Amino acid sequence: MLVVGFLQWWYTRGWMGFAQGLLDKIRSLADFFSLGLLLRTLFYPFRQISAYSDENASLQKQISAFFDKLLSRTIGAVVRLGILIFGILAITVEAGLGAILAFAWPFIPLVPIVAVFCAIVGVV
Amino acid sequence: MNNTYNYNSLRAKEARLGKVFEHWFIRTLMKITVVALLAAAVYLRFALHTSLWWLLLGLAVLLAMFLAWHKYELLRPATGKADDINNILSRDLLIAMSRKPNSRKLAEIVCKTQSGSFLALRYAITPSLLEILAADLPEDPTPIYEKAREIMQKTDAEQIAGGMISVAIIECHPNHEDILKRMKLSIDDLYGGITWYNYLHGLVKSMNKPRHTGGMGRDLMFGYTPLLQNFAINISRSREGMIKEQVHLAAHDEIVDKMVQTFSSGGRQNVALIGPEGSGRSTIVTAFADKILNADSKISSRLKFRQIFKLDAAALIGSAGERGEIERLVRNILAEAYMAKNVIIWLDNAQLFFEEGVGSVDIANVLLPILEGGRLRMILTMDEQRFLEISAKNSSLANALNKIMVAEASQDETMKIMQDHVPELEYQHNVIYTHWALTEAYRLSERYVHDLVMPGRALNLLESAAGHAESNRFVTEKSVQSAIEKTYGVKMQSTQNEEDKSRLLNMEELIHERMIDQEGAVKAVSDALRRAAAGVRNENRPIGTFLFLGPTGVGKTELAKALSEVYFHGEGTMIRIDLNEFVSADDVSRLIADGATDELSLTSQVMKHPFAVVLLDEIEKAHPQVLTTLLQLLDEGILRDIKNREVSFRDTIVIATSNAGADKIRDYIDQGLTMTEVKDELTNELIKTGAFKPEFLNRFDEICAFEPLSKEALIQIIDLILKGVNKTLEPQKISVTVDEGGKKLLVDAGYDPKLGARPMRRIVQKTVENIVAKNVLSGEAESGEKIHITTEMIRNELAS
Repeated sequence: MLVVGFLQWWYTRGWMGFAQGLLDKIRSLADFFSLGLLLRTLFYPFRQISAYSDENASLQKQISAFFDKLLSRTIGAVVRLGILIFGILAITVEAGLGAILAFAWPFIPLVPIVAVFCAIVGVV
Repeated sequence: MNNTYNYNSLRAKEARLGKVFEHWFIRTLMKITVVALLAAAVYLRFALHTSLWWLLLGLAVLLAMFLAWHKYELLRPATGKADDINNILSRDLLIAMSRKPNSRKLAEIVCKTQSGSFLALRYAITPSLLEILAADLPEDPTPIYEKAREIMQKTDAEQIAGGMISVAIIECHPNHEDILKRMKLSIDDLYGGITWYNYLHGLVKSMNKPRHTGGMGRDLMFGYTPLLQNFAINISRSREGMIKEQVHLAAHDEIVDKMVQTFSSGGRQNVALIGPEGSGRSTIVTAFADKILNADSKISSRLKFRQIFKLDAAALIGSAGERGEIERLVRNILAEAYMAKNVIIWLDNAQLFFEEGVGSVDIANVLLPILEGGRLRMILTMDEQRFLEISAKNSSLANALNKIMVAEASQDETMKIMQDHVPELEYQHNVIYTHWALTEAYRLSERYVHDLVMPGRALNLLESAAGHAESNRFVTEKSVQSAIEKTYGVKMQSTQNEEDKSRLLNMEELIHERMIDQEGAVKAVSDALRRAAAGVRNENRPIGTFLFLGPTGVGKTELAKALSEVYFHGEGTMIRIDLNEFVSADDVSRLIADGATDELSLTSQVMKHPFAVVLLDEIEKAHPQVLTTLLQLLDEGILRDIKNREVSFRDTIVIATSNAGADKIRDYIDQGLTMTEVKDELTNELIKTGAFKPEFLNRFDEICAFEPLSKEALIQIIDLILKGVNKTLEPQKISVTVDEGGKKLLVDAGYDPKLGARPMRRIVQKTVENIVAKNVLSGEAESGEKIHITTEMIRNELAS
């Protein structure tokens, strides 16, 4: 009866739970690396440095402020891109491994049986 | 519906199997074995090239599958359809239940479950009690299961836990209401206990869920805030690490939603939370901080991940010497907050920034343009009174604020908040709170804690009670009573023990041990107090309210003193206010003054000694405004002090005395009226002459007329005074007696119808005490001797 219970769980709640757990992990990783947020604010000035310019200032000062802001936005974009790349990599690895395991999930209970068969047959 | 427990059901078997492998050591060993098997398989495959590695791999996979099954299923078997009891019994119940449990067996095991022991510890629903009750129930536990299923549905639970079986056993007992009453409980309290346990259980479960707060890139788009780091506390940062969420009250949720709405709209970006101290203003701000920090909450991206900084007024004042410097510093801080783009400034106790004083600074001229401009988000919290004061001083400031009123929490809400705080308090103080501690904290704090409103006042008392836990570390209602005595300086007394009951029953005799005559008044007062002690009284009024009418020296004050001694165990519990000092309307403020400025005001004295006789002497001389103020006291048992705090008089006996119309009493008696008729006539007379208004007199439980003392009564008073003299002489082992003729002489010499018994003490002093003093000093009276004073000696002494 317990074996039946185990198999019931494995092919229903267990499988679904694993898939849900994988999605939760991916969501947590996306939050940890702030993926959505970084994409939305990719070209924002880095930490608001040089983000403000005085509209009443002289043309020279305004041009200088424009370039300062441009530099701040570039630095911001580079830092964000770096984090984005790391984040996407981490999520890809997690999702890839998870997906493989999720697809292999229904076959895992067969592994011990196959293993016993291979051991008897003498497959090295 | 299947209500038959099946020991061999799959869930029961899974639960028992899960228990076998529950220990961390076994699970760790199994995990190590999996790794070792895999390592050995790799070794066999690549080093020894043998097919046996397959066996090791198969074993490792088998064990790994079992570990997954154990973790995700056996340790928390999923519930099934609720129509079968076996699908909804909790795991710990399934583990504890025997093959065929009967009602008694169920009673035995429920306290081994988590929720069963929760109820045992906090509500005293112990195994022994349950076993006694179960003995009266049928062997077949089906009705218990049915009731438990009903409880599960009523409490919105998913499973039948041990606690529900405990309550079901109680509820199935035909006399459960009487049994619970004896335990000062109701079935609703126990349902509340189950809901409390379910809430805590849910809290523990939610701790395992990941919390999304924006991640490492969240703050990259926002500016640096070095000044704010120095002069403010980042509330959001401190909440970030918190796993625990706070209990959500409907009223608070509504306010948080309003805040979200205000800050998401394009209007003035400020919110002023106006409410009394202790109403939960800070809790609302932290709940708001939680909400905007939660990546999953559905709020505008313009508001999400903004951080709340609580500005520290003391740090600002401390670091900047002059006023100009403070203003400059505040401007810089606010500019930094604005430039950072993710800061919401919180001015807690906002009045500190709008008034000059110790620890406060008036920077309204800096803040007003910012509030009116509405570009920097700000939260202000303050109490109603301060808001009114600031509004009166600076109306444009008040108009610039988006006000949200925070009301005091209701009893149900306060209980929920206390239940929410209990785990934290228990962890901090290593104690266990019982249900009665919570209800007592609510009851006593409502009456005796004056500086805060609910839920703050109950929480404060509850926390103080942890320091008064009983020897077994339980915080009970006694702990709370002890806390209110020791921490808040409120003297608590109980009138419920046997000695007190007998004292109440023999009140007249006890009072007459120290005062003579006035049987009518003594009886009326005694009857009223007995009714009060027996619970036949309105709890929302003072214990008793009496108006004593009569001439000077007939025992009005003496009866008040006797009452404080008999009812409250000592004269020290009498608060005496001479109302002839309250003759103008302005004197009302002195009557209700704050204890910090006038410790002798009526309200401050009652705050400190809520169990007392309040003697309002010569009430006819008080200004009508003072009498109007006292109406609420007599009617509802509360008086608001100058700070608008409610002071309870519900544990006091209020006695007002008056000489008004006293000269009429003798006439009435001479006309042959009984004392009851005298009282009625006198009352009518007082109303007719305008001395008191009828609505004022009607507020008293009893109006007692004191008759002038006869010479016979005065002789008895002489006896009482002599008793006092003998008591004083007791250490010297000397006693005094006066013969009857002497006593009569003393009465004749001291009798004055206008002054009653007052001159008697003086006359005894002048005669008896003088004779004793001469005897002692001349050596005629030595230790152990009796001095007998004759009529002649008194006469001589009076003549000298």
